[in-house]
Amino acid sequence: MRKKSAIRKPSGRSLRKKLYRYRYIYLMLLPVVLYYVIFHYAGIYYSVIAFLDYKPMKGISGSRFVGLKYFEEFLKSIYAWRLIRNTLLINLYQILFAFTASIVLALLIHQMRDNKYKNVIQTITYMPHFISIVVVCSLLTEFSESDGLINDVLAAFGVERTNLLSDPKYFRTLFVGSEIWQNVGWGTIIYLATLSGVDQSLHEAAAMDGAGRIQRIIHVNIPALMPVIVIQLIMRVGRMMLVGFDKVILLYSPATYETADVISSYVYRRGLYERNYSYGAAVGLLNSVVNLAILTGANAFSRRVNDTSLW
Amino acid sequence: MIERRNFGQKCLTALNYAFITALSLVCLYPLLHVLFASFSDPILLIRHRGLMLGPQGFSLRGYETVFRNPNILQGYGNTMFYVIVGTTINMILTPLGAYALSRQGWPFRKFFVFMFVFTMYFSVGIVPSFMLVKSLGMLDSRWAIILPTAVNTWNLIVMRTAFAGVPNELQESAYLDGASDLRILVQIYMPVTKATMAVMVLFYVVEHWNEWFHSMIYLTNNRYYPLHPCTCVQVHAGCRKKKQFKRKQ
Repeated sequence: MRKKSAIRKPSGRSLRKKLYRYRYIYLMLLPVVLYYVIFHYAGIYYSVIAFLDYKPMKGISGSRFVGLKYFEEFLKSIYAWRLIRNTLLINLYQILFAFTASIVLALLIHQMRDNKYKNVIQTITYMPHFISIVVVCSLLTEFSESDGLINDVLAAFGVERTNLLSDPKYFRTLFVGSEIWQNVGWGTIIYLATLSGVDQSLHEAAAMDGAGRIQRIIHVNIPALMPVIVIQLIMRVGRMMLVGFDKVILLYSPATYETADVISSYVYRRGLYERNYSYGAAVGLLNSVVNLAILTGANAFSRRVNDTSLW
Repeated sequence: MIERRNFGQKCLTALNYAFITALSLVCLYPLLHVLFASFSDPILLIRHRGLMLGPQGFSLRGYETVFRNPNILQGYGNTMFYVIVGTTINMILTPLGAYALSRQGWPFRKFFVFMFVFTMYFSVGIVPSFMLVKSLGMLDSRWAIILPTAVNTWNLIVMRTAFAGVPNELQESAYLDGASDLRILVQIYMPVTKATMAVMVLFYVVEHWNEWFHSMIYLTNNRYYPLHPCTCVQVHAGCRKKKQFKRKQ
């Protein structure tokens, strides 16, 4: 924008003319902008309570300014390290396993020749995505009980039966595993769409040169997917500090806090449930800022390394 | 296409099919499990262990209990309300925004794009959102469930992309014929991108149907609860009963 205006400075009048010409566009945009201002940007005003000793009775203007007190309190608390570690580890495992699972599945589905069967498979693997998280979690609870299905399978391999959800050792596995179950099929959509756009002549040329199935996947399909994978990965890394905490609070219990409690569930518990509004807001704000920093970093890194970036 | 069909390749194909079929069975089984369990005799169901390949006995007691429970019926009613009204609001606002963003050349377009996209990566967190809804006077009202999710930024971008793919000539010729922007959107853009519109409706419907988190934090009165907090309560009650039953045995 700035560069353009240096070359051809639009006078105030032409800007006014343009604004007038596109007046209906602005009018149409108005309700959407109002929504974003009210429900997203007005919320930023309320995050100042992170720096106040907020008392609901006194309101924001009447509460005492305490600076970074709550941020310090969080970072010095014994929970800080545990929460950050749990948040990062769950996300890391999700990237390592859930993110790659969709790519692998897309490559495999793409190899299928029988279109009817392919459609059936795709429909079935999409289905779990549409199931409410509440139902998924109650199913998972049932299956992971000591006489549940998962234990039946494990017992067949000689593992002792336990209630998996009350054991902190298994929480991350169950969390990421159910995430894969629910979203692996849904995640393939974008990759399958890209794969179907790959020029057939590339495959033919590779086959002429004697490339087998696997070689063609490695040398044709994966390079074709690479830009999409990178963009998806940046967006995924941009949520590195966020965990779908509705699922966490449905699955965890005080017995599994050691591995299950993440920053967002902690904010919910301390901030809303125990009504430490200022403390909750401070932890939430810190989390959002760090998250944004990670996203910006990942984007800059990707732009430097392989010229693909979100912006 | 030239296809080498030797033994190794055939094995690969078979392996691939077997793996994908197994995976889709894993995806399908828990859903069937719920279906079978819902028709099963409760006592046989609790005794049952391992894979369930059909209903255990047959009973409609589960459904009877559900339909006798006034909370669940009310929950269904509320969920239907949220789905219908919520999706209607979604499908009014999202196309308006998407149309504006898909048009080029108007001043401050980039500013607005940034303004919308930024919210995907930066959220103020639940405490300020809660206070915001509270100060808008929407706590304990149906609006607290519908309005904060009036536009989904991801869907907005998908729709914008679809609109950007509509040939420019359509819009230009409509302009020359004197059609307004709103009319171009409703009578040209939306019909041309019917498939995307249908997908958007589907996404929004599913989003509202599965909604439970907002209702959990914004509603204290269960009069407005949608279905899922009700099922949540029901499931927990069910688990407790099951454990008691097992202890008795």
